[in-house]
Amino acid sequence: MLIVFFRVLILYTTVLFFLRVLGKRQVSTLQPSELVTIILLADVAAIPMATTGTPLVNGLVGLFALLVASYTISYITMKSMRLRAFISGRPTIVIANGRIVEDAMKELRYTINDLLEQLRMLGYPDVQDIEFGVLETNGQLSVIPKSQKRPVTPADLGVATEYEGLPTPLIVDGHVDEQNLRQLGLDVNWLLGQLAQRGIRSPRDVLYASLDTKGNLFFQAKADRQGVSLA
Amino acid sequence: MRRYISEIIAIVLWSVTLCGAAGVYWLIHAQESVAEELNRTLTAAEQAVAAGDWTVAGDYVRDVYTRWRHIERVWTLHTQHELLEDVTMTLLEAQALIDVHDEQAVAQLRRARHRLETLPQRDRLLLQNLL
Repeated sequence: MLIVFFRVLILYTTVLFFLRVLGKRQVSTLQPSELVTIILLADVAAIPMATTGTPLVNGLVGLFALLVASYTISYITMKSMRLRAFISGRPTIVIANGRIVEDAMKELRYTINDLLEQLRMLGYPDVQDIEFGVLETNGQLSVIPKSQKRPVTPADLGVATEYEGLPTPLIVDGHVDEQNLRQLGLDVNWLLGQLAQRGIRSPRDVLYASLDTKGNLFFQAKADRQGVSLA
Repeated sequence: MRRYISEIIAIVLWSVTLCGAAGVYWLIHAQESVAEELNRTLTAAEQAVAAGDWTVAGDYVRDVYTRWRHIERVWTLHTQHELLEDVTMTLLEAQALIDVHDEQAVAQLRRARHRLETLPQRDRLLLQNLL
């Protein structure tokens, strides 16, 4: 059993190292350590499942080893910046001031075609429109467009906007969220009253209801009932 | 409490790991003791075969087989079933050869001894096992 435990740890470290060497292109949306866990998890679990002659405990020990390795790596990366950079890598600037950083591209083995493809997917077909392009540690490209090329915001127009906040769900699939009601200083009776005013007899008839920061109650009734938004 | 939850989980995980490691060492030690005890009887059976005392040799092997069947049930939980089955088959073969007074039984007895001896060693934390 200890052999299984340490073998999984060795495999985990090896696959993690290989993934780091392979670079960010292979990672895509997951951190290298997370990807290794995903890759090994299914394999380790499948061994005792497929071979009935292998004791189940061997598979469980393997899974536990993965849990320990994965948790320890995430704990270490949380505590140490240096180890975080070593295990997860660092973000790399691939476009600076509208120009492709050739050295960075070579270091990452990231082709111009891949870069252009990613830029097109993000809605920027022209490299010159980009102030900075950063290839993140999870393999995704982040783009900061030049100020003249980014969408206009209310701040650019000098338009004052009101605080919107986050609507609070009060009923989800017929179930009242009493905790959210309490946080808003309201209770179930208030909610039932509001629903009754709108012709709804029971929260069970409601698919979704929420209250925004301005006090507007929105609800959508289930099945053939009509969605209503009330101020 | 919430602030230290990561540290608590890390400590719990590594504590379980250390307890597990200690448990495995204890288990290997127990397995080695059992294997040693069975091997002593198998050596005696081997000597009896060499002396031509087939009845005594048969009794020894039957005794080992009976004890082994009980042990096997527990070892199934953590040892590859195939390896345990190998020991069972070797003991049965040795017993059959002793019953017909065939001296090739010695080879089977030695094989059984070797298999019993190496079973716990497979779980030992050694470099050759790891690699």
